[in-house]
Amino acid sequence: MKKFLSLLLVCVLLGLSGAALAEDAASVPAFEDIVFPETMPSGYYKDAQSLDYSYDDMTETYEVEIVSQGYGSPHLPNEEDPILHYLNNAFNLDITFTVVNGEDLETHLSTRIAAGDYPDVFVLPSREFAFQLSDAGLLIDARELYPYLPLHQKYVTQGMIDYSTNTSNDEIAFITKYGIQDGIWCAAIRTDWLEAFGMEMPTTREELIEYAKACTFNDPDGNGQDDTWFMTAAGGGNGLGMLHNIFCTMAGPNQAYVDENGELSHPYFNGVRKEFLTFCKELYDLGVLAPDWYTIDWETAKSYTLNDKIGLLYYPAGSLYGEYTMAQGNQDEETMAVWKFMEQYPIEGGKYDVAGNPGYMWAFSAPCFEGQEGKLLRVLHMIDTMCVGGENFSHTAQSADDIVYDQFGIERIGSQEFVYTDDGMFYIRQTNLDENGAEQFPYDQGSYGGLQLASWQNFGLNVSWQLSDPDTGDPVIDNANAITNEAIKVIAGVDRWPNYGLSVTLTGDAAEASITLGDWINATEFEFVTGARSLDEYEDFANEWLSRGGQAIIEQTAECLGCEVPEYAQ
Amino acid sequence: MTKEAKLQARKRNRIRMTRADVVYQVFIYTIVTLFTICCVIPLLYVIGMSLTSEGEMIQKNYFVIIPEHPTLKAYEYVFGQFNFWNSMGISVARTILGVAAMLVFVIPGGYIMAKREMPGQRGIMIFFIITMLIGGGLIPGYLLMRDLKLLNTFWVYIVPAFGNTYNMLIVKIFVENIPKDIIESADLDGASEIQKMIKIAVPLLVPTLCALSLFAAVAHWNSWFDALLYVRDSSLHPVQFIIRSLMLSSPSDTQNLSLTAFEKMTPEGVKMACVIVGMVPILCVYPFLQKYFIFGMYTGSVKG
Repeated sequence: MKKFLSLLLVCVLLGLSGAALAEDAASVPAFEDIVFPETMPSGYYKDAQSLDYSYDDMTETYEVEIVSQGYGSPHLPNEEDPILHYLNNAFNLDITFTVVNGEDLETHLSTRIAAGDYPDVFVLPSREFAFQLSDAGLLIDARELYPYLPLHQKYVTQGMIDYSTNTSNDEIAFITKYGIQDGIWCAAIRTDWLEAFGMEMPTTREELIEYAKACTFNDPDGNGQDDTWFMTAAGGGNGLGMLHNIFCTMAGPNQAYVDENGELSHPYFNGVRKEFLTFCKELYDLGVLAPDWYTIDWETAKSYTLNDKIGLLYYPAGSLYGEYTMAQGNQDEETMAVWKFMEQYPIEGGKYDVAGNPGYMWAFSAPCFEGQEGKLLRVLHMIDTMCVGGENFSHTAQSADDIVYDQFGIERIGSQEFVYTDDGMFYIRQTNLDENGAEQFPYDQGSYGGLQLASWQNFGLNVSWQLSDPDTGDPVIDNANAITNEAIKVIAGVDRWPNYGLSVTLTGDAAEASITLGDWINATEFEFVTGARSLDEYEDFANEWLSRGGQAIIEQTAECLGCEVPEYAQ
Repeated sequence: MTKEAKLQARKRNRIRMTRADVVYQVFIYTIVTLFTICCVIPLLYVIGMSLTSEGEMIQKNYFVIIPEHPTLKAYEYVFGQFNFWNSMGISVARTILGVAAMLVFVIPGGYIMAKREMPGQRGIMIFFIITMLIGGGLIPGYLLMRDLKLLNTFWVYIVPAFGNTYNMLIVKIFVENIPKDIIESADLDGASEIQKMIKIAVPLLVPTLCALSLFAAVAHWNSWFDALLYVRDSSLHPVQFIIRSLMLSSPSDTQNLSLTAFEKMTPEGVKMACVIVGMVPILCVYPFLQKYFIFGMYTGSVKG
């Protein structure tokens, strides 16, 4: 009898455990059942705190190495990194955080992977690199990862899933989501010059040309010298820079897409690119571009902006207002009003360039997680909570917040907290006035401020949804921040072309051609713009592009978009 | 002899220059002066830009040679990098120890290889020369460092310095040029090979060794690629790695982030400061070794 009761008890316990496990397993959806959004959400996911991470028991300690991309300044050593220690404590991990410059990332990873020294989790230098590793079977298919990333599921669009898919083996090679700075750039115009010229905000090509000529020939700054211009490219000799950024989409998408007839429409052959080059040539011939418009680099070109010599820019709102007011020495309303972002595209029929591009690409080494499902789930749990809205977003982005430093025992100079708004945005509130009354970064910049912890934000930061603090207590700053925030919202709402490029994956010869033809394309387009080569020869250029590798690009693009190869590329 | 008499004698003995000589001298001096200006102006530009504030740089369109209101903000930023002084120490240490490691190998190695009567000398020479001509490459190098347990350690900078065949060959050539009489006289005095090497060969090798040491020191000081491949711990990175990272950081990396990394200074100023900081230490050493450098450049090239 005793034996029978013991056996019955064991069976009941086993049954209950099985039911519990079955219940836990059922809370993680299958990849096929996940509904990824069609477009980028307009703000953070507000119910992130209610997401279920019970698949991770948090009992065992795991060692994991993460390789992330750096920002130039050396990242703190692991033993001094407060964010790393916080995450180790919070997730029962022993993290080795390796930071490598973007320029060196491919060399670093190639060497290590070829030598069999795989990092557990690493940021990828390029999609092509990811697909090479995927072809070699070295990466975990993200179909096995996304079910355990409930917050990622709210941000990853179906287009990004397509973008991540290796067409050679149908494997999703990496996880990705929003970019740190996606869709935050827009054309900005000088309102004071418009007023001086007696012009309205240009909305047509003719109006824009008139504004361009006025910028250059009407002495808008009133100093009696011919030292102002409409625009500069600031591409540093590598392409048409801001001219491309603003005007490449004046006549249509700057990507291949399937038109209403079900045919592939490519900007080199549907007139879009030629129209853009024609416009640039018109600007060049009018003499409204700065003398060094092509060769000057981005940083040096700021001298035009900050010295009030240029009439149109392509910039993010926060950077433009921040840099301009810093150069002017004040954030007065008058100073803030100088630049205004153009909500309506300045040329009729055009739209701004695409948004919704993916951000950092994170890969998981298959050899490192083989037989270690618990470790994999732990890491996935951790990085999911580092997205915007997640539990650990504020503890890891923008050099973290008070909690991290207090836990690590670091004496804080001030305070930093992340505040979420009801309309899907967030801002960072810093309360830290030094003895002169100026706001400063809350922590000793030599040790814990600046960019020395920035690499952690590669997991989750998104400045598209970031506002400036609207209530600092200083009316001048509050007004300036309100103008900046308004501009951020304007930029978020501008009309953009759909992002067809996410569905296109180039491999082999096509991928190589897309890279190697870049310099030749830049040089030829420069010739078209400057008149060294007539635009009547544009079709010759397009055909030469085909013969140099463009045909392979067209063929693969058509295959990815599910349409026929057009006649001109057959 | 009176002063006037001396002056008269000097004038009489002076080599008279023809008109063509004068024209030639003027032409040469002009060319050299222009070349010097071409060399100096970029250096002045780098120094000037590193000392220029953000406002002045913007005002003068990012071209400043002599700043009106110099500032050390860019240097403060560079020196203020968390690991900067530690990395400077790493660079100094690896330079000193790396040069020492090189010398420890090339002096005995070159001395021994100069002994043609040593059995197997030719075979050993060929072995070394093959390693000099044919390298294993990036991956075998990484595997070797990993198997030697040198990855992520300071010694990964030093141990590879032991194997410098090219310098050893230079020392070998110089040792071969030492007159045999000196060596034989040491033999008669009962000196051992080590004593002959240390007390006869090395003192005669000083100019050559100084030149080789300078080359090695510059190589160690400027090295960053080994840190990129073999060292992940940022506390072991040399200063050139830090400087290179700063110079590579693009404006887009910091674009629109709340972190004001370049407040009151520009990335251009920081990059110029990086150039100066990376260059000055080795420039300070160079003058002391210059005479040996010039002598050592042609040492070994002329036999007899």
